[in-house]
Amino acid sequence: MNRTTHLWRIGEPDYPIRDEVPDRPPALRGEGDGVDAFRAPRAAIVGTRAATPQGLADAHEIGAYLAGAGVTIVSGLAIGIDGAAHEGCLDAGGLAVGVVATGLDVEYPRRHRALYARVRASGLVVTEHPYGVTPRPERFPVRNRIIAALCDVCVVVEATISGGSRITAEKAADYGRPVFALPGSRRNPAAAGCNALIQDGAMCLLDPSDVLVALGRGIAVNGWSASADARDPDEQQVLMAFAGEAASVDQILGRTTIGSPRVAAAIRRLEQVGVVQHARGRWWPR
Amino acid sequence: MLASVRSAVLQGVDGQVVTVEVHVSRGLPGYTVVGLPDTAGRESRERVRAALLSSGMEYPMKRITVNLAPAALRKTGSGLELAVAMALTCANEELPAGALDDLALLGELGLDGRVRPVLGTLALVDALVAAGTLRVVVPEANAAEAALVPGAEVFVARRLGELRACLKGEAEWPSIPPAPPDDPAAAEDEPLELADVRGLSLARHALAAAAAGNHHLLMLGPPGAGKTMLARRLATILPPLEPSEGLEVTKIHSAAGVAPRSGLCTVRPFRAPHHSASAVALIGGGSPRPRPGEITLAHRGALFLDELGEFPPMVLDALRQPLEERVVRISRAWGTVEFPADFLLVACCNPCPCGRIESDCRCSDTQRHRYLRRLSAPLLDRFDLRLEVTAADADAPAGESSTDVRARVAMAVERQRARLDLTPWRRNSHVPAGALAEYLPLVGAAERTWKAVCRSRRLTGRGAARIRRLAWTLADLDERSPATEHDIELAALLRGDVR
Repeated sequence: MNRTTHLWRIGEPDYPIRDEVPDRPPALRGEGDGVDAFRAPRAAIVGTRAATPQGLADAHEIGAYLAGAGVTIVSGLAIGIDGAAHEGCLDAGGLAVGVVATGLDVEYPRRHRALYARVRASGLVVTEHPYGVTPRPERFPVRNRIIAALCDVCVVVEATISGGSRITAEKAADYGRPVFALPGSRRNPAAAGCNALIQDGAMCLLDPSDVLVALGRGIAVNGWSASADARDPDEQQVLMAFAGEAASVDQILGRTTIGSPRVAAAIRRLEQVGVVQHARGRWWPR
Repeated sequence: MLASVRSAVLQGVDGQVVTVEVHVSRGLPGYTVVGLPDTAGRESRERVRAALLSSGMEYPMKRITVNLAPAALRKTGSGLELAVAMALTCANEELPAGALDDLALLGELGLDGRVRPVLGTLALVDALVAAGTLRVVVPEANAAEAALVPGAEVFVARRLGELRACLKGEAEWPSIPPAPPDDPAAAEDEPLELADVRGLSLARHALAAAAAGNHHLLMLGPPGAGKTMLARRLATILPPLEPSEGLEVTKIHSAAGVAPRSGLCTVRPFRAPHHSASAVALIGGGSPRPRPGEITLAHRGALFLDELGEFPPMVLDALRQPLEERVVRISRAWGTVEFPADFLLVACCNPCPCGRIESDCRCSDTQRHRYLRRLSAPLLDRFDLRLEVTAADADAPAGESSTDVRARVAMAVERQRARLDLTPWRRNSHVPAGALAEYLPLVGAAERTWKAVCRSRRLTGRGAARIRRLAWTLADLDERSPATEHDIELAALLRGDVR
């Protein structure tokens, strides 16, 4: 396989971590064809591996929105939020930087092999480790500091209360990067870390354009894709019954008055246009 | 001298008529059995000899040859001993010639001359009657069961000596004893009632559809959601067993030795094997005589597999062929037997290995994937009803009672029978894809919705046909014909994607 490889050393003009980060690695290795990735402003989008379908959709959407505005998306190529953010960025034709905790020849997790290939094709896979280094639990929190150091803004989409994304966010704050967290329901364990970050002083992300403002590249606009097209009354009633949270069909039936066949029809139509999604035994509105 | 008499042996769960021939001649005293007997058949010599001597009858010191015809058929079990003993008595001229004509004998012998019961009397007598032998002598304990066969004239054998006297016309035949009552301990401690399950309205719908249209049902959900509770109550809403089916079920259960003591099975079987069951226990098989497995014992009833994910994948995949063909063929080196296996499969499964409720579950998506991967796609495809069950709130309203649902199910079964009259199929789920347009038509909005659902769910032809059959069952439950677009939508929701 032909891969374009790169090596950046401290002191060289191309070394991507510009300001004085105390624990930056002496050298970074990279692979990939997206050499311009480091020339654009960079936003990190990180989060938990145990994400909800809603969190994955949010990560994808934020990644795509920022990539469309010319921002490079930095993340960790992990399952969950990281992968969704990379995919959103790549789907929008943006530049992605995946910072990994292994050697460049090790692809971990294996389920993301296809994503690795996409990131290499239009972005960079970056590490501080030499070839052959295998994934080990202690290497991931250490890797997170590189994500924090490489980005100009850090966005946490969903994080559990004790997860590694909070390390990334805290490091980013230490390095002086603005940190955004997406608020979530108190009932969602995958949002607890984000809500705690907001309480600790992270900025509350109400719209992806907030990130562009923080990067000095735009003004706040309504960036969330427009929704609520004209829906029929059944669909509206079902969507209201979700109240923004995951629910089983039985729960929806209890909150609506139209009977099971019409609820079934409404859910199917909403699923078809991507407004609700089925996962983990329940239906999730987006 | 030569004498012959009819008897029968079990072949799978069916009877096979056997002619027992006994030849007694001068020569070196001896006793030879030919015609592929098993060990029990060869050992019969000792029981026949002792039983004759204990009954004050003669065991000739001559050369005795017993032939079991047809000679090429392997015979198992000890049910031919009574026939051998009486044929020997006749060949020895202790019975008038012709006393055994038009008669069949079933029974095992005790050393004291007592006649012991045999397995599968119903199937054996049924085969004999079908072959034209209407007069059957059976052990006392099997008499009530044998009398269930229409057309059979049943005589009771209690002891060899008494039987000989009856055959000679010197004594009255004993009367057929009344069937003993069923074991009271076997009855359910507490009658199950569907109304005890709160909430879960969708799953109740699915349960009724499963019972009415014979659609296999898979419920996924965390423990405590009420899956098992609901599945156990399926037995209370199954349609009544028809008389012809009752005979069929009793035949199987009698051959397996699990028939009720009172004789005829009157309720549909509900079998719930544990997940440590082996493939042979589930499917049938074994040696030397292949025995019916749980799926055959559940014939015309329901098979409930709790914790489906804990069954070995190999065992589960063995279910695929019987699920499709409603019979199971056991092939061994010596031949093939076919067991009927028209059952309703109801299965429950946790969505992940930890089996904790949603908020406490720490399983990663990878672990959940791996756990559900144990259920192969072809197996999952055979479930018409696949739904995820989440725990109901404690204050959810109680649903319909078993009595009400059973009435609706019985009505739906009646509607299907009327529609599928003169076809080999009885339930909507039996209708093959090629006959859907004729027997389960969809018109107007219903057809458009059906096509739209299939497109949006990217269904294969098989999946689309399953939704169509299910929609018709839902319509039958609501006494509606033909199925409407609402039935299609509900059917599509009840056949969810579980992966």
